[in-house]
This record gives sequence, C-alpha cells and structure tokens, in this order.
Amino acid sequence: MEKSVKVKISVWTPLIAAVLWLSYMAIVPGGVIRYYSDLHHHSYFISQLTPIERVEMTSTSTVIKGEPAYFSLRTSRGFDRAKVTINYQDNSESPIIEVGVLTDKQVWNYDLKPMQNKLIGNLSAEWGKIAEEDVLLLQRERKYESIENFLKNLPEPERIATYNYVLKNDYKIADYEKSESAMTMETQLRGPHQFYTYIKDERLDYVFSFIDINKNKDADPITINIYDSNNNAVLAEKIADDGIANDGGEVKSAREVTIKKDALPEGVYKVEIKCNTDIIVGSITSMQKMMSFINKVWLYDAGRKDIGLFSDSRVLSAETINPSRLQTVNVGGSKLEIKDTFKQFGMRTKKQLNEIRLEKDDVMLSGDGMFSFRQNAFMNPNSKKINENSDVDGDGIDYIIARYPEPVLSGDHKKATMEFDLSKAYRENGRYSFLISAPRLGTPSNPGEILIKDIAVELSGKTLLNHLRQK
Amino acid sequence: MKKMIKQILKEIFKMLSAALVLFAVMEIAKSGWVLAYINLNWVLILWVAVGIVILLIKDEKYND
Repeated sequence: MEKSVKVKISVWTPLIAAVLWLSYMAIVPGGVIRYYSDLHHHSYFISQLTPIERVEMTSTSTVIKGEPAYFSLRTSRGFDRAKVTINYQDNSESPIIEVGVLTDKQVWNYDLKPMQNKLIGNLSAEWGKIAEEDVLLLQRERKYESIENFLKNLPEPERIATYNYVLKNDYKIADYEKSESAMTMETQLRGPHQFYTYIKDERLDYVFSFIDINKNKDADPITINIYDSNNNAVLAEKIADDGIANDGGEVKSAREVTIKKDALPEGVYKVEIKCNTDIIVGSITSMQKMMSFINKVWLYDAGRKDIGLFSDSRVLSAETINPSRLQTVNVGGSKLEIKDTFKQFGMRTKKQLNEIRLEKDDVMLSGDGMFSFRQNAFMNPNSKKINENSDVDGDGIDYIIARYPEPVLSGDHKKATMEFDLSKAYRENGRYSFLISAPRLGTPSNPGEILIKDIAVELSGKTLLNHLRQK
Repeated sequence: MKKMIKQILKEIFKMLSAALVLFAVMEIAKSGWVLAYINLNWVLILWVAVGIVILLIKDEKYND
C-alpha cells in the first residue's frame, strides 16, 4: 500500500470512528444509558442544582439549604424509565426527603418518590417490619405474618396509613342516596382544582361555568378529566382558549361546559380541572351530592364575605396575594392569622373534621386532606397518608404499608435510589425536570442542610430494533 | 522527512476542517449530538494550530 494512502487511512479513521460513536451515544440503540454528575464539573446531561438562593457549592458537595431544589436531566431521546441514585448526607431535621419528576407543566405536578423517610425508618426500628422487595409493612403489634396476608385481611381503614403505596380500597358510602335536584356551588375558584364525587345509580352530571380573566400572556385552555377509583380515565373534555391570548385583562362572558355520562358503576370518581390561574371556575352545578376538593382550594377575589368550608386536613395552610385580604381564619374554633401577603401561614388542627370560616375571599387554602363547601358533601375516600405532619399515635394508626426502598449507608454518605416512569413525565427541549423536596427545610422549625455528593441516572427505553419494528 | 510531516499535517488539517463542518451540521441537525461529548472550541484551536504549523514548515525546494 502506498504511503500516502496509509496516511489518509490513519488520519481519517478517527473522524469516522468519532462520528459513529457520537451517533451511537445519541441514538442509544440498546435502549439503556447511564449519566453521572458530581455537580461540581460541568455535565451536559445533569444540570447543577438550583436556585442559587437555596443551594450552595462547597469543595466536596452541593448543599441544599432550603426547599425545593431543582435539577434537570437532558437526554438525546425519550426514555421510559429512570433510576435516579443520589449520594447524600442529611444534616437536617427533615422527616421526609422526596425526589420528583415533573409530569405536568400546566399545574406543576411532580411524581414524587421517597429518598428518605425518617418516620418510617424510626417506626421500622420501633415496631418491626416485614419487607417484601421494596414494600414494607409496619405493625404496632404483630398480627400479620406476610404482606399478602395483610392485603387479604385488611384491618379497619382508619387504622391504616400508606406511604408511596396505592392501597386498593373499594370505597362505598353505605347509606348513599342520589340527589333529586341539582345543587350549585357559587363560590368562585381560581386556577386548577381536583375534587372527588360519588355516583350510585345516577348519571354523572356537571355544568361548569368558566371565566377567563386574561391576566397572563399565554393562551388559557382548560381540560376536564374524570377518573374512576382505579385512576382509569373515564372522560376528557377540552375547552379551547377564549380567543384572547394576551394579558390585557379583557374578560368575555362566562362559558358553560356540560359533562354528562350515563351507566357509570357505583363508586368514587375524581374530577380534574386542568387550567392555569387565568381561569376562574365561576360555578359548578351538579346532580351529584358529594364534592370534596383534594388538598387545596383557591377562593377567587369576588368580594364574598363570611365563607364556610369543611376540611379534615391535619395541617392547614392559608395564603393570600391580596393585601386587602389579610385576615384571621377560624379553624374549628382556633385562629389562623394571615399576617402578610405571599406567605403561607399554617397550623395543626385539633378535630377530625374542622369548620373553616373566612372573613373574606381571595385566599388559598391547602392541607393534607379534603375541602368541601357543605358538610354533607364532604368525603375522603383516601387512606391516611404518611407525610411530614403525621402523628401515628394521635391519628390512631396501627399499620403502615409503604413502598420505600430504604437508603443504603455507604461510608459517611447514604445512597438512595428512586425509580421514575418517564413515559408520563414532561420533557421540553430534551430536558426532564426534577425536584428535591424536604418540607420546611431552611425554616426555623427545620434548620440544617442536605449535602448532595453526586447524582447518577440510569435510563432505559425502547431499543432501536423495537422502535423500527413499531414503525 | 519535512515533506512527509507536512503531508501528514495537511491531511490532518483537511480532516479537522471536515470534522468542524461535519460536527457543526450534526449539532444543527440535533442539538447535543456533538456538544454533549466534544468541545468544538478545542477542535477549532487544534485546527488553527495545525494550520499555523503547516505555514511555518518551509518547503524543501526553497531550502535547497
């Protein structure tokens, strides 16, 4: 072979190899790839933690001083699953640390998975546990010998709490009778909301009235989703923007949306109103008796006074962005003062079901339970959940079932692994968004910090062959 | 010998020129395809350096 040909081959081969390797890494033909970042050196795939107000870099770790902290994962293509491993040191009082992937940007919904749960960890040591794969059963007094046995012979629902575990419960209201006339909820609500309703031998019948206040620039579409008790979609209705996609504040007349569906089996149904905060739910008229809002309600600024609600939240928070709506909220006889705007004021409630009385509207109420505007419309089909406010003794909980892979101790660090379903995750510009949440971290009640040493993500998805076969 | 080195450097220069164009096209076609792994600044610096060296090496016929 001529010398010049040999030179050409030796010089051009690395470029061809580089192009082939880059293509291989971009396509990931095997469907599995792993990315790693120590959060100190630039990583194209795993971003550094943000925001800088809550995150500090030291020579060895990234320190989270407040919550939530965020990072993003940039991938060359979509994947179905992600196994996120975080190497960390916990120097905080946080009972629960969770990591979540963004699943819905419109309502900022994250699919949260446990990174560390000290409540479960401590109770495991105190009560003892039965572990089957990553499912744990904790019993105050040992009665069940296996998780299977527990699931087949469940104790009274009020004695069970769950954590990151969906306990199939066929919730039924024993003496339920359908309503003979429609009822209208006149209190106006702002932004996305979810509520539970109940159906027995009746038609699902809702009439929503929506007002678009056009205070933000984007278009304001609305989606109403209805799910059954197994979270299967029953119905979805999309309502387009009112035609004003600017922030001029022009308000057209209210639009009515009617939702009807016959022959639904008896049970609980979840109604999700998915929209942004430009949308006001003017009224909800329904033949259904029960209507319990899940975890939050935002009462719109309609000038209403003396508003009453009922909630079973153990910890209740109130917030307003309107200086003229600072007030004292009566929660089951106790006072919750909203002293300032843009700040959440919280309290622990005393009763199982508390009546909440507000002097004025334009307040966001949130809690770990349900909210209803009528006592006889209140229901909570969910099993009790372990969260940062849980008091197992006070709440009479004797059994906890949890899907919780406990973090593994490795030297002076702990290693937690969380698995996410990315097929439901939101991906924009090739990025998945993650959050690290440790409730109240950085507040006087929870000082301390969480040191993150590194993050590794193992992604898995369709292989190239699967992809070609599907096409 | 000098001729041989210059010939190799010229070939490397051509390859780096092609690499820069190819990588730019690949990156435009799919963001992150190249930049996720290769810093094009270094390729560009190498390309300029090789070009300068080629210019500095005088052809043998002029040395004689």
